[in-house]
Amino acid sequence: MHSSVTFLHAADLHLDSLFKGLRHIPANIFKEIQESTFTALNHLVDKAIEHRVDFVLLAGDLYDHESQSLKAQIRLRRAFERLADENIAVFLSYGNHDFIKGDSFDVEYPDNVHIFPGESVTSIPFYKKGEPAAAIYGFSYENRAVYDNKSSEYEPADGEFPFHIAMLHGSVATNTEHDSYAPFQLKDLLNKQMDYWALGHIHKRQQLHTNPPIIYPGNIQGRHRKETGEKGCYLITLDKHQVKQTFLPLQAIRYEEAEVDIQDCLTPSQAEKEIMRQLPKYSEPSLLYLKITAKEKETLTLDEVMVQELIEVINEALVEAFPWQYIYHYKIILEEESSQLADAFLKNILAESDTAFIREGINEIYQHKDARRFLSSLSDEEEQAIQADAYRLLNKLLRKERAK
Amino acid sequence: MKIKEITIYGFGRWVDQTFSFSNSHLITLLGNNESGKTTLHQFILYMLFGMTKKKGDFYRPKTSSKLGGRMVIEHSSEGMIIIERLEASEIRCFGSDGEERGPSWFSDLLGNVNKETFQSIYSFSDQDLAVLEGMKESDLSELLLSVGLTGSAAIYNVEKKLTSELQKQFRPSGTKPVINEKLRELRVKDKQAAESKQLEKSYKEQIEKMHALEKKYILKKEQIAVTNEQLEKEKQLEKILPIRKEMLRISKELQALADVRDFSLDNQEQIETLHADMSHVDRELRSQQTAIDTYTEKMKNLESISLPDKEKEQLNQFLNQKSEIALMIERQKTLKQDYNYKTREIAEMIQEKQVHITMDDLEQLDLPFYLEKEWAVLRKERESIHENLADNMRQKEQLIQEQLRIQTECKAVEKELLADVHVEELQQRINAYQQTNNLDKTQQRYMDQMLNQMLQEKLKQARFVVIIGVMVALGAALIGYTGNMPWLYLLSLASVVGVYYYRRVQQQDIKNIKQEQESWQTNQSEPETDVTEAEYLEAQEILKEQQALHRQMHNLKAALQQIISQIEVNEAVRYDLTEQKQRLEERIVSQQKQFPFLQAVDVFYWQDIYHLLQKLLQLTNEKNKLKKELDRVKERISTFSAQVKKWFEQQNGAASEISLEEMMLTLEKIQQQEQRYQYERGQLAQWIKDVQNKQSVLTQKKQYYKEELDKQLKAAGAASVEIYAEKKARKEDYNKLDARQEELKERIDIMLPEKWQQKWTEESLEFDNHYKNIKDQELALADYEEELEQLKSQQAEQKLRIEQLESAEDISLQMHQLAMGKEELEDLAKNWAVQKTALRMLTAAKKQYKDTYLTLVMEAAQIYFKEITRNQYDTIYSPAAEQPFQVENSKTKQRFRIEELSQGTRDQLYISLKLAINEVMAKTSGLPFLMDDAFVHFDRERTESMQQVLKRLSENQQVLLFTCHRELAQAVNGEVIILD
Repeated sequence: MHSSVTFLHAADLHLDSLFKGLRHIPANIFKEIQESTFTALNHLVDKAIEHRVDFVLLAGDLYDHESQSLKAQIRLRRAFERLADENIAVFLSYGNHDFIKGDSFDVEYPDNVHIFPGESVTSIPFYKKGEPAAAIYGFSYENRAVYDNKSSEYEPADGEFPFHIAMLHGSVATNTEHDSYAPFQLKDLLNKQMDYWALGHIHKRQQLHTNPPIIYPGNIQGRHRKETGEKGCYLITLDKHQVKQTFLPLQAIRYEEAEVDIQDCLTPSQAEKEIMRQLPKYSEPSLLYLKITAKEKETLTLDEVMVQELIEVINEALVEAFPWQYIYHYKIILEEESSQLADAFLKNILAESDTAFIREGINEIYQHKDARRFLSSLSDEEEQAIQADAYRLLNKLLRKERAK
Repeated sequence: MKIKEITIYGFGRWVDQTFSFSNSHLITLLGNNESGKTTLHQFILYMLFGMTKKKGDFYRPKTSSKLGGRMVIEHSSEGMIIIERLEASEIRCFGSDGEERGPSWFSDLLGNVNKETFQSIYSFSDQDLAVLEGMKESDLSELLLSVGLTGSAAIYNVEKKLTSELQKQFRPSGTKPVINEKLRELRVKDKQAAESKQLEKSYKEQIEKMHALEKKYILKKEQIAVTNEQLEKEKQLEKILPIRKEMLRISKELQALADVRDFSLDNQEQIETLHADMSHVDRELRSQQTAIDTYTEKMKNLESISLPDKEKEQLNQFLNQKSEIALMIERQKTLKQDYNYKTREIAEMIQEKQVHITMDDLEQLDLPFYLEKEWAVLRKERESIHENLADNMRQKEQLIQEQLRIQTECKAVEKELLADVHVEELQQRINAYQQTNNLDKTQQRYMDQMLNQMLQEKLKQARFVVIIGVMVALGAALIGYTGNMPWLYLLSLASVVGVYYYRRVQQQDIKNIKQEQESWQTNQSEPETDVTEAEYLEAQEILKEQQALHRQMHNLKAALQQIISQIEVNEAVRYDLTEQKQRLEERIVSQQKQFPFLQAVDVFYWQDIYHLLQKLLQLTNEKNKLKKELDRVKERISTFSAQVKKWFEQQNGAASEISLEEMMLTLEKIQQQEQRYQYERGQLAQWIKDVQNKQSVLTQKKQYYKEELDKQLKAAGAASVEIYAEKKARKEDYNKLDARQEELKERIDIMLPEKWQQKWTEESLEFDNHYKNIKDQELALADYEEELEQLKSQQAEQKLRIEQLESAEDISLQMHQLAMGKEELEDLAKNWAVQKTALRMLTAAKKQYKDTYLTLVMEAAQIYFKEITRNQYDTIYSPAAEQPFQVENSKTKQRFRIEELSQGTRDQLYISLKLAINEVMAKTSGLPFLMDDAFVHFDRERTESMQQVLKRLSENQQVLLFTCHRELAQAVNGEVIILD
């Protein structure tokens, strides 16, 4: 009987899923970004081989049915084949994005890949040199959602297995941030006498419990503004006496949020230098969401065109650096704006312009037969933001016009 | 604001004309047609708002090239100001202080009212009133805004800007604007992506196709395999045709032999074996009988030739002793050799060492143990005596030489010495000199010192030499004692003597020195003589020499004395030694007498002789022992030999002169012979017994075989062995054929795979049938192979297609690009939405404004309208949506649209509106009203009412009334300026 197993636990690969919030990205780095989920997958395989793991657990959402990418599945197959060459097994369950009945391509995976076949929890034994080494438990989403609490279905398999490892794609019942699929309570999991809970679905890395470990490894590559920082998988070694867990970063590109302060800058070139100086540095390429705190000066007008030019200049330099960086979005926070707000003429109009009023105006484009195909409908927050922005703009324009 | 003075430089028909207005607010400018009323009205507008160059050219005077003028205006807060315009240029303004101000300053004074607004409110003429006719809601609100709000231009500008900006970004059915362009781009991309996706979606289909092809391929392969099998079968069947024919023939032959088919050959072997066994037993019985006969004969022969028992016993006894005798003979040989060797060794030794002694002497010689020591002592003594004597002689010679040397030296010194008289004389001379010259005491002291020093040195030297000498003597003695080297004792003695002698000489020297010292001291007290210094010095010199010579002489004598005494000692020693030597010689002679062989040998070698003799004696002993042993052995051998000889004589009757060894060999041979006879007899007896036993067994066997054979034959159904043989031959033929049949069957079995074996018997025996079948199958097979190839290539193509799809990564890129495009569109759309919302907010704000003030304006207008129309109409409905103004009859409550009203009432409505707007909205109240024949369509009553209104109006604002109607001018009761 083997006294230890070593494996990688990853989830939410979302291969080839589309990135959010990217605009006007230069072609060379765009290609890199577009490839980044696959690069991270390759890193995962590299790590598995490097650490000579026994198997790899993939807890759901390997790819998105929404993206409908054959490439995702082919690359996945190639990754599995690489693992097969090294005699590393793969246990995977499908999640809410790659559910079984979804419209996926029928790509066949090699024999080292073990897929949990349906929505009831089953166990798959893992043998190491002919000896039973671990029992892996899990289930796959057959449809877009699973609303049942599945934790009660995890029951130890027959036979002598030194370790019991459970895979679950879902979230804690109280979680409101995400769709609460396969909801569970922490105490339900703890009651199950599993040696390890390999969770998936939540993209932010977190450890719900230490012994036994109950871990969301997060996704392996950030894809939008909210998925910042290091992304990767866990290297787990279970033996009779202890559990070793190590987080291995896999991301090809980091999403980061940065704040810079250029209140003291008097000229655009000073502002450029100051922003460059204050930008954080990372060892991988990074996509930055920049918050710029600024103050308008006589010599430094911070209108839309000006700031955009400034960012473009900075981006030109950043893209050439190694590793490259790119400010994909920014936000200017101007200090005195509030005091200058509200033209007397407009004093009553904000209350007047309700959602219906705004919608009526913008429907021209959002309901346009061509445009609406490509535009997602606006959320309330977005509408409110438009209202606020419009009011601010109007005030600014009037102020300028009156000043002439 | 009041116009106080108008000066026209040149405008239309007016050239260099000035009009001054009184303080009255209501000024009527009365003139006939063509009197320049309208031109003047236009001039005022020109002064306030300027005009285009084209219009300016229109008003350029015919008589003068000058175009322009100036106005003095009284302003409620700024006081008197002057404005001036020339041509179509900018306005020049001067404040009450005469300082020039910018155009905007004046514009501010006008409350930012532009020409159009001014005209629509303050300027009344036929045309101006008609403007209101088509007025719509938006126009009205514009009008209100521009009149009522300072900075309305800014609002207007922002509105314009936003509108144009929005136009640039998006038009619902345009193509150029940015968003439209983006949309077009996205449509193209989306279409491409959709196509790619469609292609990608076909992947599933392609995979299915691939599977179908694979299935087909497998089926085809199976078909080929089946056909191949068929073909193979036909070929094999063709091959087995000859075999089958042979089988047919054989089965016929077998039919003929059917009667013996059931004849059992099971007992065949048994019967034959039994038969053979029986005849074999017979043969054996016969041969054994002959053997018995032969053995018996042989036995008899043997018994006749072997020896009687007694003789045999004797023989054995002899042979038992044989080994002992052989050992003895061997022993005798070695002993003889050893004896001879010893004898030779002794002889050789004597010969070699040349000792005068015979072997017999040796046998009687007796060498006591002490003799060796005694001889050694003799030798040593003799050696030491010889050495001492030699030393003694050497010493003697040395001493004599020394004596001679000293004696000659003495003679030499004696010759030098002066007589005592001379010395004395010299002494006296010195003393005489010293008396005159004080002897230098220092010299004396010096002398003293010198002598002391010499003395000390001598003593030191003496001590050193004595110590060295003693050490040498002791060392020599010690080494001599330990190393057993007696000659070193002599060295020690000599060194003692040497030291002793040296010491004596030293002491002599010391004594001399002391004497000299003393004599030196006594000499000082000698009487003095009178002598010269030269003499003195000479005498002193001579004396010194003499003293030295004396000393030398003295020394020499002492040495001589010593030598003489040494010679005496030497002689005494020599005498002793000679005596000792004589005694020794005597002892030697006595020894030589006792042992004559020593006579020829020097004492020095006696010790060696002793050792030699010892060795010789030992050898002689050994030789004697050998001799004894040899004799004993010889005796034993001769006894045995005699016995044997006797036995032979008994056997052969005559003794033959043969050696013992030959006899022994013969004996052995005889014994061997006897033993062989014995063995053969025993064997023969055993054989006979064995054969007899076998005979009885065989007889039994034969009986048994016979019974068995009879039984077997009976069972086989044959009366005799011969009948059985005949039947057997036929059965064997049958079996052979049957076996062949089986063999052929087996061959077919081997040639045909199992699955075809069942059927082969049914197949036709015709060759042509198979041939045709084979050809058919081969043709079919060729077709199938071709089809298989096609399937294979289709599969390859399909595989390629799938691989292409799998490697087509640009689909993903397209999707991502499309997504980014959408994001970009989203941005553009949001940006547009913000601007659009901003514009709409502005419009809404304007509407709010209008809504607030329009009601007020309408109320005021109604009051004016009612008054002017003398209560004919009491309500005005403002334009709404596409609806223009409407009025309501106060009595009939009927509503009328503008076009339904008479011209007069229409004008009255407009005037009421204008007055109402002025009343409600105008911030910078007091702009002058310019009314140019506005009341032409009024009836008398309404003109009167209007006059009342004008009167009231002019209480606050200046009203310039241009008219050609004198009665109207008089009726309004203001200042009248007549134009002509």
